[in-house]
Amino acid sequence: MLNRIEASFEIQNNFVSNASHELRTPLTAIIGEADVTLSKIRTPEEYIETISIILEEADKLDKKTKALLFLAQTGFNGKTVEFSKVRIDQLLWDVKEIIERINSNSSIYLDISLMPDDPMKLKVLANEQLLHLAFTNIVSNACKYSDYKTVRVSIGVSNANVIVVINDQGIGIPEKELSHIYDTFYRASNTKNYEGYGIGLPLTRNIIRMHKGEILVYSEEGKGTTVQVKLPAISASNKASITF
Amino acid sequence: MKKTILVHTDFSLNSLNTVKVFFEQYAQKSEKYEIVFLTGYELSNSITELLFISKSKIVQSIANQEFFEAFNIIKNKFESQLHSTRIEIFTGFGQTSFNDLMKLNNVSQIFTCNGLTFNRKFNKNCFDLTKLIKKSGYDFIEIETQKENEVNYYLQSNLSRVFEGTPQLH
Repeated sequence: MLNRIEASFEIQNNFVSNASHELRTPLTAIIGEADVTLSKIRTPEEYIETISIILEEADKLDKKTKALLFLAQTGFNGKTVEFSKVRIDQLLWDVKEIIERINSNSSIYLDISLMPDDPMKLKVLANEQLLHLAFTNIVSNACKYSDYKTVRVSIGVSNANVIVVINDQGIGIPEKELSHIYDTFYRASNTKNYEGYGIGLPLTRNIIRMHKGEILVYSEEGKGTTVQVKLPAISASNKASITF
Repeated sequence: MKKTILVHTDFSLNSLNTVKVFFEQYAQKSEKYEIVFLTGYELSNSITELLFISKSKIVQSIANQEFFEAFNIIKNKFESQLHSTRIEIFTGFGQTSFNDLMKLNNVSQIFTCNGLTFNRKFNKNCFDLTKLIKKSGYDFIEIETQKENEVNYYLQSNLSRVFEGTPQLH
C-alpha cells in the first residue's frame, strides 16, 4: 500500500509540475514579447505583429486550460453525464468522416469483416459526444503519428463486449515509455517532430473508464501501435459458446 | 442437416484465422456447420495423475479466456451459419485411432493452417496432428497464415490479432 501512496504522490507531483510548465510556456512568450516591444517606440506594423503573437499564445493558453478543466471533470465527476444507446459502427463512421474532412491526408479503413450484421449487438450505453471525442483522439493520433499512412479501425463483438481495435504503422511508442503515456502532458521522446499537448490519451482513458470500458495500448517502436478498446455490450449474453 | 468441420488448432489466436477463412471463403450461406477444434494431447504417464485428469480440466489448462473471447467475436459474425462448437483432444497414437475419431465425429472436412506452433507455455503438452491429417484420406485444406511473432506473446493482450487478415485475403 505504501507503494501506491508513494506512486500517487509522485503522479500528483509530476502532474502539477508538468501542468505549470505547460501553462507557463505561452505566458513566458507573451511577457517576453510585450517586454521587448515596450522597450522603445515602434512602428504600427511592429505593434500589430506583437499583438498578433500575444493573441496566438493567449489562444494556446486558453486551449490548454480548457483541456485541463475538461480532463479534471471527466476524471473525477461523472454525475451529470447523460447516457443513451449508441451504435458503435455509426459512431466510428462519423469519426472517420470528420477526421478525413479536417485533414484530407488522413486515410482510415473501417474493417467490418468481423462485425455482426445484427445492429442490436453493436449498441453500447454511452454519452455520444464524449465517446466520439475519445475515438477521434485515438484515430487522429494514429493518423498523425504514422505520417498519414492508412489506419485500420476494426469492430467486433464478443459475448460481453464490443471491441474496437485501432491499428497504425507509425513511429510507435518506446517500450520504456509505455507506462507513462497516460500521464498528463506526457509526450514520448520520439514525438519531437509532431504537434500535440499530451492531453489526448489521459482524457480518452477517463472517458473510456467512465463508460465502464477498458483501453489497452501496445506498440513496437518504428513498426506501429495498436489500441484496443473494450466497451460493455448492451446485448451481453452469458451463453457458453463452446462445449468441451 | 449440419456438416461437421474439424479445425486443427494450437489454441493460439493465429489459429482462429482458420475458422475465419473457412466461413469467409468455403462455407455455403445456406448450410449450418458444427466446428470441432482438435489438438493432439500427450497424456501423462503417471497413473496417479491419470486418475484425476478429465477432458474439461485439460481444455481449461490450454485454452485461455482470450481464445474464447476471440472465438466469440467470430461466432457473433457468422452466427447464422454456426450450428455448434466443440473442443476435442486426441490422446491416441496412430493413424487408425485418428481415423476412428474422424469417423466417430462424422467429419466432412478438415481445416488446418501452416502457422501452428506447439512449444509454448500453454500448449506444451499438445502435439502436431498435421501428418495424421494428411494421411487420413479425409478431405483437408491447409490455410496459409503468418507465423505468430514470438515477441507478441509478451504484450498485454493478443485479442486484436483476431482482426488481422491472412495474407491471401489482402
